[in-house]
Amino acid sequence: MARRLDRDVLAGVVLAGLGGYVAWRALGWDILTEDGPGPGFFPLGYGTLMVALSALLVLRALLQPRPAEEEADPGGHWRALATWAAFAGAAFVMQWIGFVAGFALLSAFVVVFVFERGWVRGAVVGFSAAAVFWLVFERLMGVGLPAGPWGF
Amino acid sequence: METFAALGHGFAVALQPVNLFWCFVGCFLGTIVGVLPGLGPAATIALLLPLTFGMDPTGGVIMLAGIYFGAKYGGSTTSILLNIPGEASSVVTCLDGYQMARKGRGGAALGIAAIASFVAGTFGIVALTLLAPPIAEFALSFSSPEYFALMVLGLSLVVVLGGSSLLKALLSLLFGLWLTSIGTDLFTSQSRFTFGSSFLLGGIDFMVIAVGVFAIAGVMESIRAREENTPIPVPNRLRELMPSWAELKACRFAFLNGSVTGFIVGVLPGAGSAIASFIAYGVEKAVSRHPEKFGTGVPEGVAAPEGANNADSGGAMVPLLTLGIPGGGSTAILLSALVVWGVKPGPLMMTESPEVFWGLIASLYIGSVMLLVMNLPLVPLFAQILRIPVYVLFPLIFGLALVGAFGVSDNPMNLMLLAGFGLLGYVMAQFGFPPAPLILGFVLGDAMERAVRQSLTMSMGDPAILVERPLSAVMLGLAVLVLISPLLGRLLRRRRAGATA
Amino acid sequence: MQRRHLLAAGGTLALAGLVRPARAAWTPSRPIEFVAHNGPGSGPDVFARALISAIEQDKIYEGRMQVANRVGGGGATAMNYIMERRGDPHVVGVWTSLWMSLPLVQAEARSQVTDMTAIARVAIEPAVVIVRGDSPYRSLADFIEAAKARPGQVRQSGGSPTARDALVRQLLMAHTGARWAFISFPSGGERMSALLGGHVDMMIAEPAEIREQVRAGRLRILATATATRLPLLPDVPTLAEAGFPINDVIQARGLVAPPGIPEEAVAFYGDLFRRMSEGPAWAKYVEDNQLQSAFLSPADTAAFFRDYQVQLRDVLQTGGVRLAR
Repeated sequence: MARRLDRDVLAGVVLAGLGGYVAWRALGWDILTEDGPGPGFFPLGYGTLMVALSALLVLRALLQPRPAEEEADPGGHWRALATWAAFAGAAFVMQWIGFVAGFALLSAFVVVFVFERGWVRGAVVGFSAAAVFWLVFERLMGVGLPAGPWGF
Repeated sequence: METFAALGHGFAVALQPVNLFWCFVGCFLGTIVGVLPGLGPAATIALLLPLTFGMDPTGGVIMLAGIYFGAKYGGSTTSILLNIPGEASSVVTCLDGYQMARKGRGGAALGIAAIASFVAGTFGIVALTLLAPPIAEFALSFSSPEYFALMVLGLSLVVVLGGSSLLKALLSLLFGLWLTSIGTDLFTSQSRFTFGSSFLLGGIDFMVIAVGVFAIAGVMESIRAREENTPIPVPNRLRELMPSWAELKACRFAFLNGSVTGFIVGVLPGAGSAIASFIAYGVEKAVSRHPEKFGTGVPEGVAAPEGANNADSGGAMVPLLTLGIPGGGSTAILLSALVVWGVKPGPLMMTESPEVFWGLIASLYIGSVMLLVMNLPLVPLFAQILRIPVYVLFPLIFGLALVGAFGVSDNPMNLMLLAGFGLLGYVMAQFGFPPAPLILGFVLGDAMERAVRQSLTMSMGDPAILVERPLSAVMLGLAVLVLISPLLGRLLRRRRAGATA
Repeated sequence: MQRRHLLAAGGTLALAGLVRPARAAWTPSRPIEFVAHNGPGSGPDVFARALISAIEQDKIYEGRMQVANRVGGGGATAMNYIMERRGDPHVVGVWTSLWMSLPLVQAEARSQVTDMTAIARVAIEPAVVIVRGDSPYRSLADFIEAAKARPGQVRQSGGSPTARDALVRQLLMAHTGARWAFISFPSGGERMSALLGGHVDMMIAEPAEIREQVRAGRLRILATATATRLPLLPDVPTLAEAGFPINDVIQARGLVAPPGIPEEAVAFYGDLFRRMSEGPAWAKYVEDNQLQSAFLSPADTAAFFRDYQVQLRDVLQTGGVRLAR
């Protein structure tokens, strides 16, 4: 089966599910009251529309299968997702190790693993990027960045 | 004539060297702090306000005007260079601004943003000077049905904003509508889609979504496509860092469109500069002779929204100065600052304290010019950011996004949401769903839901109220035209093709 | 923001508080964090900055004070944060009436002001009932009569159903049997535009936001929603004087600290805000914004919280708002 078709069907099914969920929740709230439309009025509308349009997307994908688009560089996805995982991980641990340490580690990871520029460059970029951010935002502009156990 | 004499007097005060100096300081600080993603104009003014306390009222008001304009201006820089929307109204600027930067026209895009801001900003102030009282009355005639029609008109622009597949653009829009319902319902205090989390009671912050879907997802996409192998060209010659004559000429209509759209939307207390910038971009694309090129880096795509964003500043001052009504966050804080100095914006301000009124307006003019003079020389400098090797630039984008999320709220939940929306944006791109309609839905959906519910409460459930008022009927008619425009276009083309065959 | 340090310091100080004789005065050893539940430029944020500025101008406390914006959950995030900082005397939350209504109506909002350490109430925000200057309603009774004659067709603009303006409407409707529509708008500017534009007929606003329009004759005040007449508006009757003796719904602002902070720290803050509320800088702020300075000591503030929640529960139930707890 063509890859493109798989994607549209998958997206359509997921969005139809979301639309169904939205409409179902909306039915639990007031739709129309004597004080005017309630909190369920609007979500019921767009939830239903979402189901209808997703069904259309799935139908279209099934009826008009398009030729497969070859993925030229499947490794690219993993690269992007690894970067995202590093970003999310760094964002998550910042509440304990602080912004500076988290950001330094994230920057170093991107340099060393994603762009393969070697450990030395990674350390330099990580350290200086974190230092510059700390100086500019924490010291100069007073944006409250989360601090680690060592005070920054 | 009286107006001009009073304004002249205002200029005489504002042009004193010491006041010029404070205006400069205000513009400078406003721009710098406004550049930070997450710190929109309201936050920037709030943070810098204490600096102006203790100054004499004239100097203080003038510096404040500088901060206000500077903060409005600052948002475009990161949008263009790094694809990080600096504030809500700069999201649309990303679409073509960042693409221009990638084609080596980053300096030109910054220059166009500066010039558009100046032109439209000045237009806004001129309109404020000449038309403030009648325009304010016009704004008051806008009731909920008119706001509903305005939001529908805005949402209909999805047809223009979406990429190749209208169906996917619409689904993206509906997803944005869902995101905007998350939180506490204003009318009933019912919590919706909070999944039991107290954090979500207040809804999701716009900046977290925009920065995630644009900046984080953009970096991921670049990494996937290994774009570091095709570096961004940055011209060496100063002249090539500035907008070319051809580019400026292409923006002629955009300057006008941005000015008028931004001013009119800015006057309405229930609409914001984000809405103004979206509508200006949509209009620009709808009337363009080459709409298919939008999104690939056309200068009009930068000029229209940036112009609208700044004309909005002048527009928002209309209800503030003539009626004492703050239209949004930044004018609300401006109002509270003016009160500290004993300046009382309201219907009597123009007659009772003309010197303050006209002094403030004169300093707005000066702030606008100052901003242009200050920012144009900075353009080549900022453009150099693109020379930074990608492996350093991407971590910097991550860092700015994180700081921006912190600037919005010092809460770890926001960082996780930021990461979540980054992933969402990336997945959407892989599945061919355009991100701009999502943002459009998020910005307008909330306002539209409110307007519908307000209208129906007013009419005691009769939906006719939405269409029977003349202004709303006109706007809804326009929306229908926009919605069927792709069909019309296709029909015309088919007929033409049939004729030639 | 050196959170870990603050926590560590808080822990040690709490311990020290137990060992040291109770009379020893406590002073902050770190910057004091003023927690505002909304972003820079918002009402709570501006108010927090005004408090700091009044304290600094009158030189009541000269250490560092900073505003921390704990945004999210429509206020719940800031309240949760105060609860999480148990024992930390370097954090104070700037509360508004919202802090009391939120946990009552939202199941998700689990933090309660009554579980925190009460520090002070500093201001009361009075409210007035206004109509357009050219409106046919010369008195509140006129308005109520019109609402009785055309149920649902007379309108009031306001915000959230748990805010004061909505509560006063509920009480008035319950008292008179009249019924009128309530149209919610998210910002004060929009509520005012709707009134000035003639799309609604009545609004309950704070005196500061309507002063200039009243002077210009575009708005008219029918009554003050307060227990006594306002000094600035000596000719305007209170609701009770206008013939509608309903409960007074107070909208107040003040400060709380996390639970479990040392007695000495409570005394320090109580003293700090008492002296602030007696200073000239605060007096100017109150005057500029037409508030009522209304300082309450920590013990009285705690009692105020309890009474207020009982009253609020009552009013919300009258108004048919669903309560979460």
